[in-house]
Amino acid sequence: MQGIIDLHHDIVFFMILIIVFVLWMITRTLYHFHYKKNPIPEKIIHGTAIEIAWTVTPSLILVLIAVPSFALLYSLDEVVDPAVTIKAIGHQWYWSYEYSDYSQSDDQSITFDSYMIPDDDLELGQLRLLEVDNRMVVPANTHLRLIITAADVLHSWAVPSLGAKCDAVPGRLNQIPVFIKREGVFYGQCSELCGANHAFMPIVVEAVSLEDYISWVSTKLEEI
Amino acid sequence: MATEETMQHDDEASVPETPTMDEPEAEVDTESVAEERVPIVLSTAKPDPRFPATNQSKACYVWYNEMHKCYAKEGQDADACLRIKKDVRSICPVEWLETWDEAKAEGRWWGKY
Ligand SMILES: [Cu+2]
Repeated sequence: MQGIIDLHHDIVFFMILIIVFVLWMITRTLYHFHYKKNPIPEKIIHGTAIEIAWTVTPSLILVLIAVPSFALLYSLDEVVDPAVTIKAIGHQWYWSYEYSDYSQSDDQSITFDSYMIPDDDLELGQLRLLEVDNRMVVPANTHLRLIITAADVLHSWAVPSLGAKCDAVPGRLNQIPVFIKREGVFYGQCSELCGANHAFMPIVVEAVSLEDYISWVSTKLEEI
Repeated sequence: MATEETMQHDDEASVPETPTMDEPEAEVDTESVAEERVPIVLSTAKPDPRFPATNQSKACYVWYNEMHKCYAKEGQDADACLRIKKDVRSICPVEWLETWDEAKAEGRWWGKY
């Protein structure tokens, strides 16, 4: 996530330099070649040197951007020794989550469905179309592995604030690493058109401290 | 970040308040519950160098087969098998495992083990 932010800032920095340069050129051109100042139009229509320069320079800039961009792209796939694995499964039209790291015996996983809270049931302060009944609770400052899949059609599990977006494909397990740097609640939505209620299957990630996570897990385990 | 952290939850005092989570105020005898609690260990399947890609479907399938291979060799309760089983359960969706187990139970399983 930090990598995404850093790359964005770096690129925006150079983008601003380029914008300033381009705007400066445009303003200069408009000013110096105004018809009152410059009544006879220039007849030069071709200049090989300058054309090569303004073709090669932008390509070089693009290549320079591509280098860190690809490095980031591949580093985002890397799962570094996770402590928790959570499975997010897309259904028409809700997400369900499975935590299977903690149960000793067979057929005992923490599984729950996460439905959107309908408008009528919202409490003051809750976000319309974003709040769910059962949040996905995860520990903050911990390496997480998310396994994203779907049970029926394509969905996409996306939480912009975590820099996470991953297609949920039936019959396929997609793995993404997530590391949340602070406690908090993060919202997202299904991001692959999946049918009538595509807009009504939001995602809520609640990052809590490790202790709170442990006690949440134990409460959930007792419920089984 | 340590991957294996054991949090003991034997005494009530160590159970932190969780104001953010809306747990129903259940009338549970907390002491008896606290005693039953098994320490929760934060650990999960290690990344498998054979499956470095985003797509982990094969990892799930291969581990599942390795688990049954281990069962055939060392028996259901061998430590090695239980470790594989934990990893399998970590990443395989419950639904997949149910389907496969069912196929096995009915003798429709296509694999060797
Ligand atoms: Cu969807």
